[in-house]
Amino acid sequence: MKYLQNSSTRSLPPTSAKGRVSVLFLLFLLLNLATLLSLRFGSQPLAFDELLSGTGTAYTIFLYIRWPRTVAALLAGGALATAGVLIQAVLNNSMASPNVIGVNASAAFFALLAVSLFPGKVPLAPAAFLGALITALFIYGLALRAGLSRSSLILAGIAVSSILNAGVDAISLLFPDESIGSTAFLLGGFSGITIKRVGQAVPFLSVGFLLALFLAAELNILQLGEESAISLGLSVKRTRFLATLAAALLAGSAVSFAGLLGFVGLLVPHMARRLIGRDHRWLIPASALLGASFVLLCDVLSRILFAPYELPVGIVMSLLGGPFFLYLLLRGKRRRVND
Amino acid sequence: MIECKNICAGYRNVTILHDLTFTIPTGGLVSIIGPNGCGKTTLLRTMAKQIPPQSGTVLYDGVDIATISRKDLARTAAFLPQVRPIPSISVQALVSHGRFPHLGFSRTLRPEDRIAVQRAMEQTGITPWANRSLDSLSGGERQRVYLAMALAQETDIIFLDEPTTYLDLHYQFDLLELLQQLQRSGKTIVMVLHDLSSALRYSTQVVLMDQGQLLFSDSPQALRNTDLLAQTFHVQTRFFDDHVLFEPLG
Repeated sequence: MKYLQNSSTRSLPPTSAKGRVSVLFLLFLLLNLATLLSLRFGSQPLAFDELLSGTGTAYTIFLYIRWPRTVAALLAGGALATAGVLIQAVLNNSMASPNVIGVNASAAFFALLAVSLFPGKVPLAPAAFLGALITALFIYGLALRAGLSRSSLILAGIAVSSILNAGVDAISLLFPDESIGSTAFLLGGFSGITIKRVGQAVPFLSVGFLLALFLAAELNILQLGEESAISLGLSVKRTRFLATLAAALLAGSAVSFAGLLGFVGLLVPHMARRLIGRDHRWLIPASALLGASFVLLCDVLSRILFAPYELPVGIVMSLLGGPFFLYLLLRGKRRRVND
Repeated sequence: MIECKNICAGYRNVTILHDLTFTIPTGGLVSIIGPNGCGKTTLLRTMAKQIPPQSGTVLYDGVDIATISRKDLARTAAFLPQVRPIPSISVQALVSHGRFPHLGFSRTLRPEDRIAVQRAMEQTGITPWANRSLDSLSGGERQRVYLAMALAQETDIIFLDEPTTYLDLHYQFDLLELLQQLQRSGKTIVMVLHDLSSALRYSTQVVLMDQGQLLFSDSPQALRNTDLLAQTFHVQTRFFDDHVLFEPLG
């Protein structure tokens, strides 16, 4: 054990309730701004006074394109960021995320399988949730039984991801006509989204998010390590299982309408921790707000950068998020990345 | 009173402890000693219900701990593991987690919880660091913070796994003296200790193990009248008034 590994001057994010409320409030404002931008801008900018008339092209675009798309981006971003926080807490590994360990790929694989084998019969959200849950439990089981180290676990996740991604690619080549087998789905995107498809996922998202909030205090105890958590009276297995379930509900249902959105689940929890600290009672709402804003803003950019053409939002997110994540890593290199 | 009756314990298919039976009275300061790999930590973990015994029972005041719920147990006994993660949270936040088993459904600290946290921080002398990040502290300082968390738990029994390892000498004495104070205030302290001199000096009872077997369980004074230490650790021992000197064989 080294003494004084870090300088004692390193500051923590705000720990007072007042400071944390302020951070949450600012994130809430950011989300409002992002939502307004998303409603206003696109390949066809809409003036707000036109919308208020309640008729005309602008109104139709708003109702059938802009509004569903905004809701979808907001929910997917919030859900994937929250799922990221949960998975990192369960695996006690900040390198993990629903994307990295193959949960998203599994959700996509099951969703694709459902539409390809039983077109129009099976709703996507439950299928995607089931896929997400199976892989999340599998990875957790690997960590538990095989006693994999943190980095081996990530490698196992990458292996599982690539198997499932191969499955996704195979299905989308074999059944090219299915709408969700499009490039937009594989890269993550919201073009052509309907409010119905989003609505289908909402019950899953709500249960997942409420469960996440309910588990927040227990996740704080979990980060003290298994032995201390047991000593403090936590049912470690139950907490881990419920958190995995919540993560699968959130990630699975987000993938069912947003496709394979990577990165938000890894990047946003890291950003949120820097802003508000590690208390999950604050970290979970902060990550949800930040994740929603991040995906919304990326989606706005994806629509206006090359208008009237648009990029799948996944591409924009990786282009923006990748360098930013590198910056966070390099700036924080004196701190252990996986603490 | 903690009673261990015919304990066999281990991990998976491996049995490490073989039929251990002994008793620890309430208010004791007990050191478990023995050579590396003899099962000290396994014994401590079994006594603290971190792992279930393969056979036999552990009883606190006559109640089998297998029948006590995790949460109730956490209000009776605290366990301080040797290896602990160091999350980047504030010292006060960590100590507050000691109140977890006492919290209600809302999981928020009540006034009496805050008082317990303050008291634990004062007892361990860490109040000035309340708002510092855990990862900005030295090893010895972190040890005190984790001990404060265990104290905030307000349990009658505290188990500690090698609490003095890696600490500078004066920190070791500080810690042992703090544990002695706690014991004198009525708590039962059970720890695995690597340092034999400290074990003999501070303990009211020494539990000596070798190869998963119990060799001795009585006061340090009684241990001096045997040559068990010399045999078990393959050294020569010379006892003085209140301390012991170890020398190589030969």
